[in-house]
Amino acid sequence: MRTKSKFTVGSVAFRVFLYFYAVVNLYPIVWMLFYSFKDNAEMFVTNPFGFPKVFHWENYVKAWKTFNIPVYFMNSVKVTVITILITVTITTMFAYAVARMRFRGQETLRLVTLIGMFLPLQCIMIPLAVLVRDLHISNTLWAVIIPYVAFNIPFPVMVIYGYLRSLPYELEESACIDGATIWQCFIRVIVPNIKSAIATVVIFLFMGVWNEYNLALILLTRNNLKTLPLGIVFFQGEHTNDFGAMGATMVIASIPTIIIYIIFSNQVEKAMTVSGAVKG
Amino acid sequence: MKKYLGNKLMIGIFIMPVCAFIAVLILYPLFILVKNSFTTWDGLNPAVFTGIANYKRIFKDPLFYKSLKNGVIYAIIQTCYQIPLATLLAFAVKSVTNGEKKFFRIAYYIPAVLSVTVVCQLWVRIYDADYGLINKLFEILGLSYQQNWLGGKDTAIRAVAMVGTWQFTGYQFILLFSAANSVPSDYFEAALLDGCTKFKAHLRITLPLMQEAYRYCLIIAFTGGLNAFATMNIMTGGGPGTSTYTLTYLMYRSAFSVNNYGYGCTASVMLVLQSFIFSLIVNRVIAREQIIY
Amino acid sequence: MKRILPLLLALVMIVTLFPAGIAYADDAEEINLRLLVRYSDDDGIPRINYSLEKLKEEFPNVNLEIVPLAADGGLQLRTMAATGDMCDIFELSGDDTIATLAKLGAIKDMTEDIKACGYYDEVFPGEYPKMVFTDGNIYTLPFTGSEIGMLFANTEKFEEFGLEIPRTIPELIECAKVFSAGGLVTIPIFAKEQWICNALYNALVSRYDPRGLDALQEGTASVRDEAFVKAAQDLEALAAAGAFGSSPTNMAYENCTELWYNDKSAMFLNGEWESDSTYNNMGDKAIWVPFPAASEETYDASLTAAFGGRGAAGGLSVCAWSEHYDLCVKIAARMAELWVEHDYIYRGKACFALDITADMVQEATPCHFMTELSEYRPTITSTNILSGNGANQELYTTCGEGTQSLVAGVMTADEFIESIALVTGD
Repeated sequence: MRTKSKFTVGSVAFRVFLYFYAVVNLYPIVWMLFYSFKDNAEMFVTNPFGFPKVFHWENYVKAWKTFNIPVYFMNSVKVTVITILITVTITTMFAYAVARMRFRGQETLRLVTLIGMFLPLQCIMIPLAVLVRDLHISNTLWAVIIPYVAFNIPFPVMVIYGYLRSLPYELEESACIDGATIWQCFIRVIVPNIKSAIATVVIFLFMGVWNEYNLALILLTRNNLKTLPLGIVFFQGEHTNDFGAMGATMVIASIPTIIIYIIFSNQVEKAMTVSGAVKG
Repeated sequence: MKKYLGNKLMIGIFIMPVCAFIAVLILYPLFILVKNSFTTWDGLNPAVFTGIANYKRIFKDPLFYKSLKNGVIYAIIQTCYQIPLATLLAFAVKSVTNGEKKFFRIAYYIPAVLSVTVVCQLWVRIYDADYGLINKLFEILGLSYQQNWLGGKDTAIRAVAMVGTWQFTGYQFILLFSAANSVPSDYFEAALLDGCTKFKAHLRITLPLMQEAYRYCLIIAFTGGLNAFATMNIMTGGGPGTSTYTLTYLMYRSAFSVNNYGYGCTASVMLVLQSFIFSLIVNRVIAREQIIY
Repeated sequence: MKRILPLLLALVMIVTLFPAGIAYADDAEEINLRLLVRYSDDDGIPRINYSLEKLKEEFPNVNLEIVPLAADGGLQLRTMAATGDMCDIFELSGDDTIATLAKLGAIKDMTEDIKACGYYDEVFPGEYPKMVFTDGNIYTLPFTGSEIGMLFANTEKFEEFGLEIPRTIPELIECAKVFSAGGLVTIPIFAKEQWICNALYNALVSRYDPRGLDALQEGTASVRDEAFVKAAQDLEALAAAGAFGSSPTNMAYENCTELWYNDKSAMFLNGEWESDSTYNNMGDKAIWVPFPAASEETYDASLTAAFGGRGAAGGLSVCAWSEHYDLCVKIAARMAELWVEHDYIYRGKACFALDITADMVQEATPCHFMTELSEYRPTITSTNILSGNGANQELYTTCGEGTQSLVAGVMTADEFIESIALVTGD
């Protein structure tokens, strides 16, 4: 039974609110685009919020020439893709074991993984850098990939665990009866049912890893390994910052995230329409 | 069935990779952190053991209590704003047409895509006491309630909290939207058939079925607030003075401004404890039983 | 989802064919060195590029790769030291960082090496504190002198409001009130950064006691002494009079210079390095005025009591673990000289650190501030560290937070004194 939308005052006001809030949320991207074309004067005092009066295209030229954008971009791609693949694989497996399998201490194990989320990065930065050196992965992209995977474990585990808990046990039971091994059950039956959770997790991982700055700055010291967010360091001066060029860098860095998000949220949408796992 | 799900070998294989990563990259640094919280350390040279001196000091430090308070304020603002609003948005977007759905989904998540630096820069301008949008808006509306948002002792932390909150509402929105969509619509439609209003149906049926999602959203929102750092670092530098200090900032100050990493580690330990305890509480209170569709 | 996964896998396989890191080809003849410097604004870029060009001529087989120094409180540098992966040549400052690195063995005494290459003899004796660390070793090669703080005034604005340049602090407070009423910021302070608030406080303190914040750092004065208390009260009064605008803690350096260069403020507080920018942007309406004295009686004494002018160790340093240590020291010394040379010739900046400019021809005309400064310097009777940054970092940080609070008007003078007393134990 479909409920038609009625044009009551309530629903109109509601819609207005939705659109208004959407505009408020979209403004920052527009603003960032604007200020990537401004110079410091316009950005700070004369015209902080509006359309650029003068288009300083040279901000983009400067950003492009100052550091090697294509190399940094490729590094970001490699790091992000590899991190996501590894993280999604291992966290799904782990979440499944903790949520559905039976062994002693599974709840404790799950809670222990939470701690990773609260660890303040700055304080463990130096021990982490030494650890990376001792693992012999410094001066490669693995220097950041391995830590990224580790620090991005708690969140996916939490989300996937939540989804898994709501799946009926009939799923395993029917797979077991059909003679599938646990692994086959996992791959063929469980994973397809949590597709939307995985897609959600992929989105978050992408955003988190692509934009990550602090760890990358410390662990990637060779210029040919750096990721895109590190480009802005070139514009942080002793007394002033070149905000226009920083803006240009950030626009270049943000475009992939927006594109990936648009693609993946469509996937999430599609995956979500296949809900209602086992009925009949 | 028990044997099926209790297969030790398979369990081992499933949990081994994560355990390895956690042990090496999280538990080990955490161990070092705790170890160094009992020392005086300059970050590079060997640490000097000082027993519980740091802990005694932190409990007497007024900056510690101010940081705690600010952290809690931030966390409360973040939770109280993000979760209700995200819930509202998730349900609203569920009920609009497909084309609009796409637009809203993207629009609401966009701020979270941007780097924290950009968002903070924008809000610094918006909050500006003389040229900022907010005060200008009040002026236009004829109100004289103009504040020095980022410069006032009490308003600063709230202003900064709103920025972080606003930016990451998109996260919560996506999580709750996802969860809301996974709830099979049968129950909801059954309720509507029985004569329930949409609002009541959502309240009594969909929301409770999303408890799992709320559990982790609550943890993320609250602990995110407790651990906030980037927003205050960029917008106010912890200031004015120390009015926007949280525990993470206290740790940062000890480690880098004052060059006493040992005390910084102590602050970190308190930080981790704080968040961990809160998560344990949430775990106990919400969604204790499994909800199976 | 099913379609995306294989696509991603294919992508991964393709990209991992490209090596994740490229090994450096280290010929016997070609030497690659890494240089960690601030590489961004108008101060840094031109002189770095100039020095790289010249160094290429003098050391043709050396490639210098620039690694930009991040503004992150020294974390990047320390992590590099912790992992043993330091850049060969880097910018270094901060007593605590130097002490830590020295203890670690990441830097070592360069006295003999720079005496051998002649750099040592070029340094003005007055600048030895920038070169020689408190433990007597030389870890840093300065390329700037110890610059003094300067207060500038916009004569047009003073005329417009019918005011005289203030000679004493009470007069300054009165001017601030008038400017405030007229909607003008008297002295824009980029209070987002704590050091400038400290510098202002130091300037005030040194009107009462020429030693300024150094006395507090060295423990030769108590924070409850008149100088510190009065200065705190003056700062509180200035903030209350609206001298710093309505939200000073929101302002970064860029905000302040926009106000200053565009006639939206009456004065500006900064240091020597600011003089040519001010001149280029404002011409003759900007003059350098002495910092207002405590009272008319102390006016003459106050003229020669500089705030700033004393440097702590800082400059270019060389990693002790570098493979090519001796070569790096030579290059670092030469680079310091080239930076000085560049600023002298192309920016008209006299150098007070190195005595090498006697035979050089300036292409940029020094602004009149330079001449005034060189006439002023011999008359200085006392100096101190401009931002009060000394060995006691806890004190320095607390002081910075306190002065920032005073400027923002969120702390009273008494609270400030108490907060400092907590640290110094007075």
